[in-house]
Amino acid sequence: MTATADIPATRPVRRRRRRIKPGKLFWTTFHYAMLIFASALVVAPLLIAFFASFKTPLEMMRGEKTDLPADFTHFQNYVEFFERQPVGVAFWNTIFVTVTSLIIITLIGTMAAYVIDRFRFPGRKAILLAYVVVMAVPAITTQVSLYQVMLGLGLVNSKWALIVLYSGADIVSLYIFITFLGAISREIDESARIEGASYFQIYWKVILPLMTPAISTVVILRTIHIYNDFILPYLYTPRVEQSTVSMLLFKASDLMSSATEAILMAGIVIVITPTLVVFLVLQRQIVSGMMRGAVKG
Amino acid sequence: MPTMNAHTQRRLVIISFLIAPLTLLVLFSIWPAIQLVWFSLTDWNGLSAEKTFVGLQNYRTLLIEDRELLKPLINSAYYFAGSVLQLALATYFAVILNRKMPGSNLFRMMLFMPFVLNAVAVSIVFRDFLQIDGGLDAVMQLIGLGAYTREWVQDPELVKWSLVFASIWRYLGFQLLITYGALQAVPTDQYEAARIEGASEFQQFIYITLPTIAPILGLQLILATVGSLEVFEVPFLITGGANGTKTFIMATLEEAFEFRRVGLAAAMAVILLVFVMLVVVIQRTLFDKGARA
Repeated sequence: MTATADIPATRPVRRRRRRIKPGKLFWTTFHYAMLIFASALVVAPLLIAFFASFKTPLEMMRGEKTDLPADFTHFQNYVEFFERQPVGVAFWNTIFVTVTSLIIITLIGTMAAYVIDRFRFPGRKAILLAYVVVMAVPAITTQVSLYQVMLGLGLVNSKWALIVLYSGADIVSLYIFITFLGAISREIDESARIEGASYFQIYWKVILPLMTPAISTVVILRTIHIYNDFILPYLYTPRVEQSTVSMLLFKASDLMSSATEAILMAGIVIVITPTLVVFLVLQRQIVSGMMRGAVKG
Repeated sequence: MPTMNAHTQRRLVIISFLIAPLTLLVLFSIWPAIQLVWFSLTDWNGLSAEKTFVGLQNYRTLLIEDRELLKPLINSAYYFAGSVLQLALATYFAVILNRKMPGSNLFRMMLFMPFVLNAVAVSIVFRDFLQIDGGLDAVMQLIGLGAYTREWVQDPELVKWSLVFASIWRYLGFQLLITYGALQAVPTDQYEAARIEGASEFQQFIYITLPTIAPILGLQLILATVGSLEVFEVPFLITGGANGTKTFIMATLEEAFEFRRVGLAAAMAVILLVFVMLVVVIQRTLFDKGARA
């Protein structure tokens, strides 16, 4: 970033670098080769699936997987996937679950962070300790007993199961909120207090706006997670009518044979495309959100 | 509304703001953990009203009488080996991308992309990719490596590595990003100085880069260890656990939800939990030492 600022001081070095040494040339070529190889490996499976989604049954049977489809406007597979699978319901559920969970975790998480970071009260240390311990317990290990809790609450087979778990069992986001608020000076909220604002007003008018960067980090991390998660929909909402796009694809792949592979690939493109579009548009925010949020993860 | 006195208001805000998160914490995290330990001491089938206390019988079954059930734990070794390789690759790519060569932004995005894609979608894509005469074979044919195609998923020796490959494919970019983030902390003037001194790129990496990012790499290694104990999605969705690819989590969920041996499954989960906690405790100890030094 600031690397270019002090270039005048390093003129001799620059001159020496101009003359490309054979060793340097070799390594640069090598690095590029590795990058191109790795990127090709990343893209190849996706590209083949993308091609397949436009192929006719005959092309699927006769041709090679790497062949381009004869006609990129052959949308028959997409039409059939929409006709055979409850695509609309799954997408609606995914949006509903994601948005509701995000609202809940944002409100609950920032409130908890406000109280835990800004107040000293009996039991505060115990609460912090409880969160740290619980965060170390991998969620997947407690599913056996969590399932019974969810049964008891009558939530199994309802999308509310996903909502309460994506928001209520999300300790990592809460931790992000607490750490973020801890780094913000108390001056602003203390002066608001002196001016006579109530604690509720301070939370709503001062703390919440201040936490926007942390909220956007959590929104990014959680949206990616909820959209892509498989284990919770698989356990708690096995019926697509109540579930997210993960279950839509899982069920579809169960039903489909190799004869309808192209239709399944169309379904995959349908599920992946929104993510790719959002990823391309928001890549900078996603990347920095990931880097900020991941280190504690 | 009459103004409350400050003390009452304070108490009210603490209680009202904490009641929801604490209820959720108890209900969905603490209570299930306690229940898990209790279930593991019973022979409960998940349906009947009464749970018979059997003491440590489930643990005895798992650790002494029927070791078969612990066997999937061995598969974790493959994923651990894979994640060490993944960490090495991620570090390599992060270091060369950090040199801001032309196109490095594009490459970084490409390698990271799989991480943001739906788990089921990419798993189905991979299942087809690795089939006999699937995408991988076709690509190899295309570039003249047709003679080296294998039965990637059918060969019981190879299938585990194929799944490790799928796992690296999915998570490499994520690790790359974290390492890349850590690299931003390396002071650039040190590289400049080293270059003037005539240090090679490899020397710069060993003496400047590595010491700075070592804590992050250590943390990632710990996370990788924990992660390899908890592998579920990739093998479940690609092979369904066939051909010896069942992981410990898959076995646990199978015991609980298919064979209805909730007691036994709970004991398996507790054993895994103990393993994970052990790794975390080791990490904390090492980390605290590192921080003090």
